Amino acid sequence: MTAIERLDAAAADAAIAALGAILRDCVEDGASVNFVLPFSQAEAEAFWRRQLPAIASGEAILFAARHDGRLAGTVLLALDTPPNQRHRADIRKLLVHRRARRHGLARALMRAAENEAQRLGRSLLTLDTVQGSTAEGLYLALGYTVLGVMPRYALAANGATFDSCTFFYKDFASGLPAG
Amino acid sequence: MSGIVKLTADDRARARDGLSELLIACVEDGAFVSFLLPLDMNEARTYWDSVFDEVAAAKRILLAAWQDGRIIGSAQLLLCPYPNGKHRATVQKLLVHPSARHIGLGRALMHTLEAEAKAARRRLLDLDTISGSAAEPLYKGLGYTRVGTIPRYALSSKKGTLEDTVIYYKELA
Repeated sequence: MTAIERLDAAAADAAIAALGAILRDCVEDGASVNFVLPFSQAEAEAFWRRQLPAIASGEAILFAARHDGRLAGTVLLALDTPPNQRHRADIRKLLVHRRARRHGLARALMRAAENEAQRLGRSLLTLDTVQGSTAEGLYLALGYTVLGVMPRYALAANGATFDSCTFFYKDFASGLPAG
Repeated sequence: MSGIVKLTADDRARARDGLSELLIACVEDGAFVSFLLPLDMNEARTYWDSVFDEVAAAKRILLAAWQDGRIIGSAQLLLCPYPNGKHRATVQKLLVHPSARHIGLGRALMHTLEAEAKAARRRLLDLDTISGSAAEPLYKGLGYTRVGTIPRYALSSKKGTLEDTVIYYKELA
C-alpha cells in the first residue's frame, strides 16, 4: 500500500532521519543525485536540512511516499525559477529506498508532484537523470520528452567514472492555444 | 580603465552601478536574462549584490569589460557546487551593451571565461540561450554542441510570448 504525503518544513525536520536514510540508500545504490561515496547518514540529513528554508518559504515542495507504514520515497518540486520562467518548475530528488522498489512509489510521487505543479500554474516541468538509468523509462512512460544528452555530466557515485545525463521536459500546455 | 577583467568582492562598490546599467540596457533591448521589464536600478543592484556575495564565496566567476571607465560587457561562470559536478560550470548572463555590439566583445568575454574555467579545473561548460538569439551563432562558432530545445521556456519581456530555449555544452580541451 502506497500513500503519498506532502511534508511541510516541520514535518520534514521531524522526519529528517528517515529522509536521510532514503537518500543515503540511493547514493549507496549508485544513484546520481549530486553525491559521491562515501556518503554518511549525517551528510544525507544535512542535505535535507539545507532544503528546509526553501520548503518553509514555498520555493520547494516535498512529497514523501510511505511503504508498509515507513517513509520510503521522496520527490522535490523546485519552484525557485527566474521571473521570466514562473510557468516552469524543476523535478529533483526522485528517490525510492531499495526496500520499497517495484511498488509504484516513483510513479505515485511523480503524479503528486505533477498535480501540484499544474495546480500552481507550472505547466512546464524539467528534469535530468543518468543516461540508461531505470528512471529514464519511468519519465518516458509518464510522457516526458527527451531534449538531449550531455556527455560526462556527473561524477558517478563510485567517484571514478563519469555518467552522461539525459535531459527531459514535459509541457502540459502543449496543444493548448498560445497565450 | 579598459579591457576584460575578473572582478573580485572588492570591486563591488565601483562596478555595481555600471553592471546594473548594463543589465538594464540589455533587458530593455530584449535580452533573455531572467528579468522582466520594468527593471529599475534598485532591483538590478540587489541582483548584483547577490552575484558579488557568490563571487566572495568563490561560487561564481564574474568578468567585466571596461571601456574608458564604463562597463560595456559582462559574463559569469557558476561553479557547480555538488560533489558530483566539480568538473563543470554554467555560463550565465553574457551581456554586451547594445552600443558595443559587433566588435567581437561577446567572443572575447567567452574566451576569457573559458580560460578562467580551465584555471578553476572546470572542463565541462553548459549554457542555455533563446532559440534564434544572436548568441546562438557565437556559441556554435566557439565549438559548443547543441543538446536540444525546450519549448516555451522563458517569457519574452518585450513581446510577452513564451520563447524556446536551446541548451549547449562544450568540453574544454
